[in-house]
Amino acid sequence: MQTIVRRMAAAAAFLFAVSGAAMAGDPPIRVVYHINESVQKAPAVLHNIANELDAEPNTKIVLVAHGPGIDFLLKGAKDPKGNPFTPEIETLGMRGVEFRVCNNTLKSRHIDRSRVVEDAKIVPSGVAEIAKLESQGYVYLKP
Amino acid sequence: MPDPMKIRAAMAGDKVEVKVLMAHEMETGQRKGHPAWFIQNVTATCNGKTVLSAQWGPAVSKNPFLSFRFHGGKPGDKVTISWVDNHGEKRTDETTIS
Repeated sequence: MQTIVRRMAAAAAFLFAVSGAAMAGDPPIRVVYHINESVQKAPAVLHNIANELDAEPNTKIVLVAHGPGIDFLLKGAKDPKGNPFTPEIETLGMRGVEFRVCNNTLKSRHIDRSRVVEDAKIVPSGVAEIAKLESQGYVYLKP
Repeated sequence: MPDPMKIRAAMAGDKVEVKVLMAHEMETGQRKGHPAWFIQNVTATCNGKTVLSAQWGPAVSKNPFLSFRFHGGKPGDKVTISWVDNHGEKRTDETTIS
């Protein structure tokens, strides 16, 4: 009986050591934000991203936009209060956030590539990009 | 020691585009129990020559983002940004034009 207890204690200590080690070398959290709604929604999403970075500064964040969700990443876009999105996008860009725009959306909505802001990258497909990032271990978030 | 700035400087046509993100509370002094604490002077130099000099006040937002362009820089040049706040605290960071 005593040996069993001792073995269990040893096993518990081993488990503890493993989880302790995992914590020390934790890979940074990686998150993909998904937006497919109009500029009405964008300020809240950008705010969420800023808040996440405030709480966990080492988080790697990629925002993928498709459908009406790309509107705030077009040059000259304004939020519902009439303010430009540029400062917010550039600030988040400086903090390491990547913006990706769906090319299928650009094609189907007949939007020229040159209208997309320079801070955003164009990817062939928004949904495929999200699936790819998820398969790489990114956490999916859709505020 | 205040947190470092994040600075990017890259060629945009024949100009250099600089983007700076500063970490600062930027308290206006209008809130009860929060004395004024904001960046007052910002200077940018390229290889030692001043390309931007600004006087700021409490109207500038927390963690300010600054973006500007100037003529006369080339890849490899050193861009240095400095700020001083109303407490006399300072911060200087630099980057190389890419």
